Amino acid sequence: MKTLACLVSAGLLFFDLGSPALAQNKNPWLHLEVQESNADPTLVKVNLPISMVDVALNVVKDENLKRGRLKLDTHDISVAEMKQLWSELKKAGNAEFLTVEKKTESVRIARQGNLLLIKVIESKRQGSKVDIKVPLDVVDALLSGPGEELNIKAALAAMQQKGSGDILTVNDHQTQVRLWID
Amino acid sequence: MTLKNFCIGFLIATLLLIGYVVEAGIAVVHVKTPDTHIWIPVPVAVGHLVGKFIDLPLSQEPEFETLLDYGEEAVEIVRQLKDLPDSILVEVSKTRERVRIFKRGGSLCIDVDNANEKVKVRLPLHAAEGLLEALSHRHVNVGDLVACLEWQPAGDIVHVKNGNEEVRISIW
Repeated sequence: MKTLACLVSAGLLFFDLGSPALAQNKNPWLHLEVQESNADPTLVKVNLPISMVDVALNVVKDENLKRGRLKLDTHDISVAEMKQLWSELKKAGNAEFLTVEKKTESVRIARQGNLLLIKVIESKRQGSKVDIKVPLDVVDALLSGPGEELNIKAALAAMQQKGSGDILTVNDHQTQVRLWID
Repeated sequence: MTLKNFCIGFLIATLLLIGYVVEAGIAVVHVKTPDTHIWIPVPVAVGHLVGKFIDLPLSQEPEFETLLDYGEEAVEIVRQLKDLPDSILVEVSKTRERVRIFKRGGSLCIDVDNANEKVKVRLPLHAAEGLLEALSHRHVNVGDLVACLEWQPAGDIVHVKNGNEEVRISIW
């Protein structure tokens, strides 16, 4: 009887300890923090479950953002070109795709395991630092839209599957941006 | 004997009715300006009943059509909000302005505080569900909207303070 009681207690304890973590993994939150330290210092914090961002995306009916898909408004590179480039980069495995070292800035684009890393550092005084870490599945999902559209909804769904961590940090001398999931 | 029974029955019915009206809540609208001071208590149950006869011409409003288009998403967002723990969802802080949208208890709260005005909104999520349900039909009457406030926890629903003017809608 005592053994049964111990087993039940252990089971309940395990359930209690495990359930929040499970719930958290099931529906991770997206966090955005923007801090501007200009003449009018501003701090913006957004904390939302990814599932809610997903629903909210359906409500946005912008010319370029419909049904969770973003029409890219740039003439520099098309989505088709991005897809082609991305498929070639993925084949390369872990590698440094681009390294630019200049007096004023350095740029590094690399793949490390399941992450695409983009790092830009301006070496001038009060220069900015950009650090982007995107899981490969998220990029795949982002580029899964038809035509010239980026599939934001699919990217969010992919993020939901991934663990927690930073996605984007930007450190400018006046602006700090941090986007992360937990 | 019959008259006595009738009186007792009438008294019980009256007490039950008063109990229901009081328990359902009383909405109090309080408007304060330098010139006027208005204080209107409205029993929600009575507002619900009387409001049934006052239709709102919402279906002619283009914004209402837009709202109907987003009905499903709004219901889903409220459903998800109900499951969330208490948390700050959005916060914007500037030197002279602060905006916060957060969940506390079973309510979605919006606080805006700047040099000119202070706005506090507390929307009970059960009321929001009822509101969305009421607005999902093309024919909306005042009673359906007032009914959303029934059985809600006491406290301010809306409080706006702008200089010398103040508007407060609360549930008692």
